[in-house]
Amino acid sequence: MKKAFLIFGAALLLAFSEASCLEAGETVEVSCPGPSATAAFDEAQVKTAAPYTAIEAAGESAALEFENHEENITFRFDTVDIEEIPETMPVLRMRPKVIDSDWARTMAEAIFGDNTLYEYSEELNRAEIGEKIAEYEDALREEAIKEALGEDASREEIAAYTKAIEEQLDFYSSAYEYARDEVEPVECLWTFWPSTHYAQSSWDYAGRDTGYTDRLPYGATVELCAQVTMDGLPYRFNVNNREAEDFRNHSMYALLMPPMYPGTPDYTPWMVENGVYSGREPGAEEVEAVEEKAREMIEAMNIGDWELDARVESGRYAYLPQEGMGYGIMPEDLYTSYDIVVDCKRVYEGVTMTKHPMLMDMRSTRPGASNYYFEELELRYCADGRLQNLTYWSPHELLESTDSGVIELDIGDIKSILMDWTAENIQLRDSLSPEAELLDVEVEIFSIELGLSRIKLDDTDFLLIPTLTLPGMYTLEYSLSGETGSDTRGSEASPVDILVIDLRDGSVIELGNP
Amino acid sequence: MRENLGLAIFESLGYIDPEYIEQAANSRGGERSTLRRTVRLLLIAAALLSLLTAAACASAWFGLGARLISLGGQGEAGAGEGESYVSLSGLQGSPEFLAAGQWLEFKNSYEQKMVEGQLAEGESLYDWRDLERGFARENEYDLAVSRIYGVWDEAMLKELKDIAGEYGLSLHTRAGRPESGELEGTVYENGAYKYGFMLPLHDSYNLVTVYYEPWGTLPAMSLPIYAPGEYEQWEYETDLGARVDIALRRQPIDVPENYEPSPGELSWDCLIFCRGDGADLTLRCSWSGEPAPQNTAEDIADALDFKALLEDGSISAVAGAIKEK
Repeated sequence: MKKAFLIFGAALLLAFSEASCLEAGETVEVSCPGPSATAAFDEAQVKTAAPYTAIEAAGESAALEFENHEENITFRFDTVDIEEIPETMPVLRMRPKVIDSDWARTMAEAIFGDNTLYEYSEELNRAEIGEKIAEYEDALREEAIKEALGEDASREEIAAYTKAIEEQLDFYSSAYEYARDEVEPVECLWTFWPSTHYAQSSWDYAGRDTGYTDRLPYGATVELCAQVTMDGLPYRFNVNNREAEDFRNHSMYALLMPPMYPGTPDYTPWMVENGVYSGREPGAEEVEAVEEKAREMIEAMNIGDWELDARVESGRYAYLPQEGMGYGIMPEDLYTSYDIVVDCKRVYEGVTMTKHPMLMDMRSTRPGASNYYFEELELRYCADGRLQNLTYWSPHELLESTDSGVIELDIGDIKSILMDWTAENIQLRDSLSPEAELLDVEVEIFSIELGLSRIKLDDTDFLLIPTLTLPGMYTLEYSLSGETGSDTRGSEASPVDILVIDLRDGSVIELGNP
Repeated sequence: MRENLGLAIFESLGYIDPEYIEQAANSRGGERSTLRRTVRLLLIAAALLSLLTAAACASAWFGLGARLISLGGQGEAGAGEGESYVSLSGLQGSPEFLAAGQWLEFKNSYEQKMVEGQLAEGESLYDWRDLERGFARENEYDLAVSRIYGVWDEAMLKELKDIAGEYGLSLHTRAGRPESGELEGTVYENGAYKYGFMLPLHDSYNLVTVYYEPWGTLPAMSLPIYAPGEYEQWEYETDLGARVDIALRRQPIDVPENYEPSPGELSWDCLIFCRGDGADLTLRCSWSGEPAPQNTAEDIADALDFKALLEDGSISAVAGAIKEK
């Protein structure tokens, strides 16, 4: 499968370097112009693409539709606009960056201003622990177990259930000795702890956890959690540094933290009463003001350059769970709420990073896989301009910047690649079982984006390379064991990468996880 | 010298109940010659050795069978109606094994007796426990062991200390949490630990828990096991050359009568044991949906460098001992 992909990658090279000298159908030997930083390409015998119909020059909008050679995949382009590709673009060497205590504090101050942050705590006071003990004791009574598991529960089920309750009972019984009569909030210590430090079911009543403020422990995952109130709303501020040997990932988020869980009866009323859900659509000036506010905050956070674009987004909600769609209520009968979302794209040396789907296979060793989250920032505000949620993933430090020549590419070249697609390309994305027969695929390509994309260089570093990305969605129909089925991947709101081209050499790279 | 040789043979067998050794050593008729006594000792040793070997072949002596603590049962895999636990330190007959069994037996029956008493009086089930451990406050050592071993009154504390003393074992005096990691764990003052982590396996991850126990201390942790007789057991040499014992059981699921579940509906419980020089390592892992669970169990064994863990003896070695498979 991988080899097939490399072969048609080589076909692309051929289209760039040899097409003018060859006639359709002629077979040539092609070797790569040089090793890619992501993968070694084999020499391969490839066929030239048949000459394609000339397409309008870059800059003119035109819809395009064509099929692959096997005539089972249809491609539709919403636009064939390609931004003008400069002669050179930067190639940046990057390394994942730890969010240390100082930086965490800087970001928190940028987000929350003068509001005081307190250690996030699920600590229970002594009386509450006593209640927990009583609760678990009651759960161990024979009648309670029968009620929970039924009369026909097996001995093994009862043993497992009882064991789980006993473990909780032991935990809280042991905690009772150390519990405080009153739990007073502690101002944020700006210290990183093991992840288990903050959970109620593993709260460190005995004070045994080791905290870190300076050097983070190698091979560990540590967290810093705080809670804060700003403009009348409660938030949780969290920094997570995963420095484990298999992969490194770092993140920060500031999330609205209502006192109850979503889906519980009081959740939506709380959101409405506190102005988070608002039926008032903000005007253009308000949206602009939020974008400016976000820009100032980002600058103060010291997280680099970002391209921002604020817009209004609406959502629907039911006031009470029993009034929701699960109870037969139609979407149009729900309430509407408006948020202001700020789309953020990272910019390095004047070039925007392309947003790719979030990777799921964190330990992937496939060539071109990036192993963990791309650098991303997401911002959501209430209609009145108060922050709702901020998430910041995977900061990087820039180690080196070089200029690279980039190839010329037009829509005809892209068409040529896609026409060579076969069922294997779909299987590569894990969308189709190897035993299934592909009947039909409809691919819609939303745009063609020029930007920087991250690829893996070695076990520690990554490269941001110039790429052309085609985000879109596709629906496939297949036959398996005598039955037909269909599947859709991607959407306008969450597109998948249909094609990503390395502009340094024109090779195709499989960035996204299947 | 020959008498000492006989005793030496007994002692070198290692896993024989001390009582046998004592009986053999004390078998001194006034009229028996030294030579006859030595021969007798050697014959007894040979007989016992052959019995032990036969038992080992029959029930994977160094695997689950040799580590099964059955409360209220006969101590063999598959026997006994009471609760069963896996010995985390020491095989059958060792001081650690015997002490752990005795402590678990006492703890369970004592707590049950106290709860029943509370029930009979119409009182809260666990009110008999002194949650503040006033009975141990005068002595730092007593307080520490009470916290670690789940001791709730003076009677329990006395029994714990008596058992440890009887078998010449230390008690854990300090238990902490791992300095780092994504899952919960416990680390003790002598390096013993329990640690849960995600083991990468075949483009996925399996949650495994590893228990490391140096000999010479009564383990504070316990590992319950259900239906020990249903485990398939075998020895295995890992890719990294460690000799381990694997025990695997298909766990029951609720299905209609005459329904044959597909591989995806099955779930498995796996135990992997490895002995080092002075310590025991136990791994537990459960998973579902595997059509070839024996392969998965061996793959799990290959994915962890048991030798390195036993040589290093510290929880910090776990991360480096994971071998991607």
